[in-house]
Amino acid sequence: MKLIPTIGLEIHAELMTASKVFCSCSAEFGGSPNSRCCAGCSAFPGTLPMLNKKAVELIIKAGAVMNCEIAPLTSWDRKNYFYPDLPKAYQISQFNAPVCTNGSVETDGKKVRIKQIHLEEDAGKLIHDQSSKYSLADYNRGGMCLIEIVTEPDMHTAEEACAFVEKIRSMLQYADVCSGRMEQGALRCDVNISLAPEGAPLGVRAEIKNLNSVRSIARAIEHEIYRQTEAIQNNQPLVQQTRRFNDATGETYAMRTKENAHDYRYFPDPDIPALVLTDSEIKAIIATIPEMPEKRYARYTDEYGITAGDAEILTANKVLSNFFESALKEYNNPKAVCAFTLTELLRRVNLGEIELDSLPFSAADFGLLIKYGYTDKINRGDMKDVLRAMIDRRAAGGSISSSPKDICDEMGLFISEDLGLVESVIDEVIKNNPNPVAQYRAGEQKVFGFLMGQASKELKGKATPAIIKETLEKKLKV
Amino acid sequence: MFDIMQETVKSLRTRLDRREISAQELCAEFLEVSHAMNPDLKALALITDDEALAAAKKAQLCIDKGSSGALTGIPAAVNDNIMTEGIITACGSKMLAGFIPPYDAGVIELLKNAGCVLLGKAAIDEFSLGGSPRSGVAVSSGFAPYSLGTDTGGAIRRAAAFYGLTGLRPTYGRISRYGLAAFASSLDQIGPIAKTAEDCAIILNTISARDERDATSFGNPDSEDFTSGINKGVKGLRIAVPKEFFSDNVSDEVKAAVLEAAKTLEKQGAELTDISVEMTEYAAQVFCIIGSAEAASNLARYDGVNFGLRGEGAGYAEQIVDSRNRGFGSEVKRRIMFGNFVLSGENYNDYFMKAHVLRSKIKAEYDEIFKNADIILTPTVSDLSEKDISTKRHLADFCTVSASLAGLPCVTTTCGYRANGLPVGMSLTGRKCGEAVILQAADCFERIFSPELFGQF
Repeated sequence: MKLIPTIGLEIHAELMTASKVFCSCSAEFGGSPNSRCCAGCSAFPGTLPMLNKKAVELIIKAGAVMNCEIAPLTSWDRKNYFYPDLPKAYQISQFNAPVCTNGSVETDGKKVRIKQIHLEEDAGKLIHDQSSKYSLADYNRGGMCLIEIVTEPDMHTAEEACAFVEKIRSMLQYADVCSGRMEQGALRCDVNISLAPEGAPLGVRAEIKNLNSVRSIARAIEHEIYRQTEAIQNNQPLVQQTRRFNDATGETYAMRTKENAHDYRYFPDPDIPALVLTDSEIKAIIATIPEMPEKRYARYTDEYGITAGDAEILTANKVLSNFFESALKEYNNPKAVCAFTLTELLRRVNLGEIELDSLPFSAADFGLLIKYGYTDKINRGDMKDVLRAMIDRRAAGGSISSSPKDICDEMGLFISEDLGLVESVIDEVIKNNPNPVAQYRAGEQKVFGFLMGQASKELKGKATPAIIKETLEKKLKV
Repeated sequence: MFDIMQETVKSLRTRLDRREISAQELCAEFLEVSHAMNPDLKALALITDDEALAAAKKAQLCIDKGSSGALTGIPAAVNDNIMTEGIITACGSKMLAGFIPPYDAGVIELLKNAGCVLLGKAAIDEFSLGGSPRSGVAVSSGFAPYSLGTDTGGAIRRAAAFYGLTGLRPTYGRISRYGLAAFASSLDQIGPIAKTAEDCAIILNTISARDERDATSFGNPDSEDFTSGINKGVKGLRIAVPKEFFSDNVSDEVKAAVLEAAKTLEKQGAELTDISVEMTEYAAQVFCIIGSAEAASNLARYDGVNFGLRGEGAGYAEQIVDSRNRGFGSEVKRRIMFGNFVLSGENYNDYFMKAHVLRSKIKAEYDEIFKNADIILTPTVSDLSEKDISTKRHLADFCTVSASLAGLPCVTTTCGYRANGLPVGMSLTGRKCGEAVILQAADCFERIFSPELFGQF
């Protein structure tokens, strides 16, 4: 019996607004505990929610890039439950009339339908200190603008789910809706998954809560497929459950079953009037969406002549793509910048030495380095050493300059175009190697490489290989 | 010297401006009455002598400069569920005992800017949920010439009616709810309790303003003068009298007094029509369901984590149960239980959703009536016997909840006395934003029925 997994996702994305969704507190990530909250987001008696219009703009952008219908009338509901990270004891969310519905996103040629995207407020954070008998509450995150993207159950493998999350992340970044920084919790994912034989009705579903990396989404799905397969094949009944994923063990574990599920007692929030959006208002917001990855991809392949594969990698991540474009402003040679970006830069990123979101050098310096290599200011082979020095020097801190110019200067990598020096060095090489010279002049071409090597060793960093070769050939002919 | 018990906002204004008394002297007199009588009457939860005298001193400076407004230097009490910066606002609940808000409610800011002198916080039932009329005591006993009450299902109007005063529930949205500890957000409104309709109009002029911190407030967009109908009579006003409010659920004494008042207004030139408001029979239940549901949600924040009394227990669940069990009184618990019951998954459609639909129908029916009428005249309190109230508890406030549900303005004024000497109130409900018209009619009646209130000035 072949079991087919069916997967649906709920993706929570924090919006890039300056302030929170229902008060004017800063929505910046971090801050010392409880330094970014006011009477409103701390639920003092008598305080009332005021909707952040910017948040509405951003959710409309998200909906537009995911091909959703944007509702002309949306309203807010209260989701009631007690938890210490939720000061009002209800979350303002959208239950009856979400802003976006009926969208779809294509990834790897497969279409995933978006059921809805709604706007809500985030909860605070609890810090459980094992050494004390107390838990601490930090409300900085409470009231941050959150959108929840709910898909239909259109995915069937961990790869498909991960590809979809990557795609959504990229789209949200490009539309300037969400930073996509999963390590800061800006993007979090709940996975709904069930297994059933092909053609049969959907099986009993488990919901795995709060996955905050693409890797843990993949691992949680894999484990859940394994667990549910085992259960079904051993005729053990599955129950509808909410589960959590343990990163250390790579396993999911039960949090609560359906019988213990919360009754959220949703009802329309009487403090927030329904929001009416005219067609022209919606259109005006959509018109401000920046260039999306598909357009950049076309520009890279058509105008820059970058290969399809490379263009795909460059545009998959807006931060990388932006960095690439900024480097082009320093050195307008797309192929050269692309090559060095995809090899050396990404190698360092993949090795974990640097992070794309916080690179230790500017795109301008990066572009300048490539310019040095490609305009024969330095040997191309030295470029990666200079990049390494740029990273190491910044990491070491202090006052040592990490600019490519200073590094090349100090390391003596700049090629001096002093032809007199080249000629005198080569004269010396010819004089010191009478036998190979005689062999070459007798027609033994292969000793040229040896003589070239001798000259290059002496002239390292002082002349380009092309000049050395040209001069050596000229002198040997005499 | 004059008797401050008899003074209205209007008359005190004249005396202050004529320098018959200073704002400080006036404040001291009211404080003296308050201190003398509060131990017995417990009308005020807190008397704020120092703040009041300081405000009076400031007000007098304005008066001396000739820059006084209608309320400058005139003392007032405000309900203890309205936040006052730096002054304990406990909402009549153990849960918030000693709570000092770091901000003023929108109405408090307006009153302070107007030079008002706040004498203290009027005692209320816990979170104003009980619906007892005691917020009228402060005004009727001469602690202050007016107070700001809160009206969800009729508290302002019942309080005024019980104590022979005039109370106004403004149109929903006229007054900012910012800084009012919520009972039922879609129903709560702040309003004045005073001695005359004219005073209510004067106070409304000051406290109706759009507040950026309350998305449901619209204030007074047309800068209307709510005193515009004062002393203008009722000639040509169309007053509708709905038969449902004169049924067996209302005592004969009340019916007789209100109908007599209707005749008085007719004699003054108003046109009376008998009408029917068919949705009336559902209003009390609809109010009970929606009010309790919203209260259950609004009061959930008092969980002992951020606010108030923190109970004990092995874990969060145990602690929260203990906090709420000890922090809340029985009426609040009853409402919370009922509110959560009607919102729960299995009951939502049968109760909350039905109530929601019926509320729209009540609104629609009132809209229809106001196409052919300016005012709806009803009793304020049904005056059922204690026995009737214990068995038909929800009928106690059936006269006032319709205006609340429909968001309409409603003023109550005294229109007679029962055999035992207690006053009878009649309610005048207006169309949305129709405060000026109902105040006009109430004022017309008061000038005939209680001429002593308009003595010297």
